[in-house]
Amino acid sequence: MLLFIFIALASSLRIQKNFFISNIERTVQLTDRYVYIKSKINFQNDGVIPIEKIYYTIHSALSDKLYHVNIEESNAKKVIEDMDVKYKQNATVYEFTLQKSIEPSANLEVELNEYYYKRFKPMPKEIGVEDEQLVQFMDSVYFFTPYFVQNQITYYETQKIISYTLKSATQRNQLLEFGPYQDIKAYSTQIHTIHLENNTPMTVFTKASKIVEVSHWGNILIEENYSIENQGAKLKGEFGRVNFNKYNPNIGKHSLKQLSASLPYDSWGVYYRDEIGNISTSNAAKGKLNGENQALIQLRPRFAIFGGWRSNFTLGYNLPTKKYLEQDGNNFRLTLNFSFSVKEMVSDSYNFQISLPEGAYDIKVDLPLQVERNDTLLFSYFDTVGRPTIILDKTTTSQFDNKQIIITYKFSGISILREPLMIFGTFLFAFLLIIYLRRLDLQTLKLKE
Amino acid sequence: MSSEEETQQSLPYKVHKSTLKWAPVFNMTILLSIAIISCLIRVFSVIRYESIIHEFDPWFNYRTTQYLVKEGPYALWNWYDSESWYPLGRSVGGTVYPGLMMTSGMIYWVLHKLSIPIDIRNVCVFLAPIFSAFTSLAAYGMTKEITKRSEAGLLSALFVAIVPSYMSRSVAGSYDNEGVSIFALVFTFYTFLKTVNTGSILWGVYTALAFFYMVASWGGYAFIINIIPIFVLFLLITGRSNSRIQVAYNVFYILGTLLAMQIPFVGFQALHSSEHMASHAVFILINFLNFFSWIRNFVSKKAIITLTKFLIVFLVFSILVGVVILTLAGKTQWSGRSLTLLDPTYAKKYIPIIASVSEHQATTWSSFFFDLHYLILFSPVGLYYCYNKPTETKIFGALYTVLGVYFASVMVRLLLVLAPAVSIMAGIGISWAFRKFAKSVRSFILPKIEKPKKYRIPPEISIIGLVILGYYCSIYVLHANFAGSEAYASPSIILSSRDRQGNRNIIDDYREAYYWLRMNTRPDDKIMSWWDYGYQITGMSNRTVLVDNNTWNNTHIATVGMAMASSEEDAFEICEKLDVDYVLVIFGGILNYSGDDINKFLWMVRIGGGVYPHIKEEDYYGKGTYRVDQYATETMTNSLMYRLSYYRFDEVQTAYGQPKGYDTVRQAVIGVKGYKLRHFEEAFTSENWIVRIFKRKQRENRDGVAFTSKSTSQFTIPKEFSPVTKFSKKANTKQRSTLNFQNNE
Repeated sequence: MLLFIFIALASSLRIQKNFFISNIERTVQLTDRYVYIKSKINFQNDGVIPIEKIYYTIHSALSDKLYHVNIEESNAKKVIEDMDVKYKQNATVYEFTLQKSIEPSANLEVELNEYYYKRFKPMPKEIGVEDEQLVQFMDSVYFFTPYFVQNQITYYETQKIISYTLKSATQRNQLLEFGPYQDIKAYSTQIHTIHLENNTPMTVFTKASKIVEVSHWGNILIEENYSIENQGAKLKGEFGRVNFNKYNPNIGKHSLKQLSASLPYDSWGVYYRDEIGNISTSNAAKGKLNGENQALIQLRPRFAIFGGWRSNFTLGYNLPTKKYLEQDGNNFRLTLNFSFSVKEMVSDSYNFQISLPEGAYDIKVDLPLQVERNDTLLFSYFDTVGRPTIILDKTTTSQFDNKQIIITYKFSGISILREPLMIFGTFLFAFLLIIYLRRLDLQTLKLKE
Repeated sequence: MSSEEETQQSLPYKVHKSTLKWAPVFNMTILLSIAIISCLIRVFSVIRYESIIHEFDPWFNYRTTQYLVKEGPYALWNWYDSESWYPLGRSVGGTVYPGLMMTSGMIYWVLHKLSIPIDIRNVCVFLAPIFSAFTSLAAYGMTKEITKRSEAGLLSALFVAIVPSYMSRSVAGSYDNEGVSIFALVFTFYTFLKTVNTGSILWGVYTALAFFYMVASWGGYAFIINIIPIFVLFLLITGRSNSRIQVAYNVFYILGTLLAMQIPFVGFQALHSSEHMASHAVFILINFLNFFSWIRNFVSKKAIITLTKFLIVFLVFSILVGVVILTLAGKTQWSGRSLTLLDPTYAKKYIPIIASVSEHQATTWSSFFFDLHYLILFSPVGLYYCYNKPTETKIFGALYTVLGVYFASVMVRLLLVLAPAVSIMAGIGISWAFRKFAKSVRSFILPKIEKPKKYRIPPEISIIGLVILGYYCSIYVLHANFAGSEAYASPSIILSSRDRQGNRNIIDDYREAYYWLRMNTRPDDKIMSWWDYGYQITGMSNRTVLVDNNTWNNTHIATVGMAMASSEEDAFEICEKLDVDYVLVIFGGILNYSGDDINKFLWMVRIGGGVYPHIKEEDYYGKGTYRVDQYATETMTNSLMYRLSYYRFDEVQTAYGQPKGYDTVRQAVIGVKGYKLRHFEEAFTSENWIVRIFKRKQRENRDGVAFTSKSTSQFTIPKEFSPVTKFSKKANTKQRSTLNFQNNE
């Protein structure tokens, strides 16, 4: 009995018998900077209980490279601790709660999206400016899952295939087809590698941060700092400005020449700079993106970032409080996006810092994400007791983490006048002092002229 | 009601009365507006470009200020900078005028204490404009001391506030010593004149303090320590000396010299350097004469004559002997720059490194006119006014102007010292003319108030005169505005061009390359470049350089010059000995940017040849001229500078209708094509090729065994330049006096 309880506690992952994957079709996109795997999974419930939760397992070798995973048919995701899977299979388990349970003897097709970064290994490790970038991609032939898989087929989309280790695969131009494979046991793995051409710059933000300062005088100041690194094949030999020039866009495709960012439509006073001043190569326009009004910014780094090179930059802008700060008496509600605004990039670590006006109290943060939170005080212009500041830290962060976070706090109306009154008082005092000193006659001895 | 009362009630009289009543308010308002204008006109550079540190030397000052703010004043005092002058390093604390950095450090600390967390960069960028406002206030005070008239003061303040010469050194971002020291200069003169007028010891103390600030901030303090003795001497000779002058000079000299010695960079030079000799001599003289006139009260007339004769002979003889002994013993010395001031051809003959700097050249008429504009026409009027009815202060103003004109003619850079003098004189002159005209107009409108006089300019002519003078003044203002917004607004590290549609394009090659160095080289890599770019590389790239704009060690600069002028193989040997990892050259052949290294190359050859005689200037002349085309000599085309600048240049087309490899600056097709580099590789080239960075390759296997350079092993280092003497005390003072030269630009 006791043993049974132990087992029940240790293993919350309970796979029903007769619940299996009848068919899975995976499409692995290897054409971009990051790897995107789209899987259409057909679940079959031949058991007697309706299934509400399905499990996704990720091997520890890949878990820190997975920056986002979701299932279209589910809107609740959480990581669960499962000792059995953790130690036997060396994997982490995600639990997805389905919107609609799978009834006995019914089936459901779900769409699983996996996003990975840092999965390409440059091979050769060093290339010249004019060379193509070749990379190695390592994957398991079988879908790593706690379920029995009846039928699996996998497609690899690439720019160009050089070679692959699994000889049974069939190649159609840029497409590799693996399978179909039948009756695969749970947690089956078999490693294979593909050597392919991928000329997109393998850039990653090694560090990103966003600093927000809220002023009740009507402005929200946002500054984002980025450290970028190209982790693709390193540049070999000479740089060669003759070959790599602005008139020849096809040379050095593996170097990062441009990034784009989207800011809120009502942002203003945008700046783009680094430690030594403005970077004068950027364009900004207000327009529509995905049906949403946005300010689109094209950022070009000071120099094209080749493999092994690094750079850093700062992007800053202002927002009016009108739209992002709601007031109800003394209660305030601030709505902000969590993630940074440069698109199509993943950051290894991310730091988000929000400073509320001096005198704000009773602060509550509503976080849709798992992050580490620290609070501190920031001393900025004319601060005496410091602004309450919330610091949120997260590892691997991407656009998928761009969820709205809501901060509610209390702030009395008089506090807003404190700093102006302070300045006013100081000047008043100074002028009075000067007037007094001017009228003071310190001459004790009157000399005859 | 009498008729007189009636006229008093009429409109012109009312206006006149109320204007007189409100005059002090007008005065203050105008002065305040001038101060604000002087700030605003200098902010054009930030508006047109950005809030950035300009040019060359400001980058060092900025870096030092950052260090000061971060580490504190004592750390700066002891700062031994290992990032420059590799492998020698530089003792910054003892070789810097700390006034500028201390000023911005103080502003920074005070603001931070008041919880205004301003960025130190912005303090540095906006320091010069703020001080220019102070300068205009000081100029107002000084003019008022000279003429006792506010209107002259106001005009002078306006002229100083916008004089292009001063603006060239004090636009926002031009964070240089001159930015604060021109204020210190004018303020010292103002306090000195105040002392002269009042004879107050308190004001004398203020003079000494202002002088102390000047010494702390700029080597140009030598001008003050010479002009005041000259002024006093002039008064002594012309018999205008009095007790007020004695008080003023003695307080200034004693306190000023003591305070000057507190600056580590000056130290005991305040006693024994030649620049200070005049002040010592005049101090002795003035007190001796005082003593003499005191003695005269006690002895008979006959004895006086003998005594006078004896004392004069004794004094002259002892001073002469003293100077000769000191000079022969090497205790006192003229610095290279001071000698250049006394003998304008000196540097050209003996010190190429001073002559190579364009701001040490003799001033041309065009730069005189561009930098001072109509002021050079107005100031003689002021000079006439001063000589017409001389007082002590007027004599001082006139002397200052005349000496300033001499120094400004010798060196372009010293136009800066002349600018306040000319502005003040012009202000005095114009206001004098205005006053004459205004008086005649006033006597026409208000006949009762003005006293009748024999002769007065007819009012019609007065009005014409007023209009013409006003027109010229406004032309001057417009010119100053142009100079501030266009000519002097460029930070020089950011270039801009206009395309055919009139769009403004920013050419940001310098920062592109400097930032590449900062991000993509190892932190301890050493960069070799010509000394002009040293400060910028340490400032923007945060990397170690061999030589920089502080040209304290001529041998080291000559070594870099030799490396640039040597063949690739020899240069490799030199670079390896100096631990050079990257070589940076500036190349303008694509963009027609003429201030590049190929154009400066002859100076490298000259300076290198000055120490290493195997480098001869003639070897770099092809067919008698300096050229890069097919007639260039082999020495020229083999030199590292040529090889690096033109590496793979023959593969690009730069101009329509010209073959590949056409250099747009030299207007010639390069002479050597299709060569490869053996020991260096192109690490980075900026978008428009302005900055090219080459990496020194590692020596190939067995390379050192098989290869020994003939020419590098042949040359011998002359003894006086041998590295051992570099740190000896005697050599150090010599080097000190050649410190702080400006760039080649």
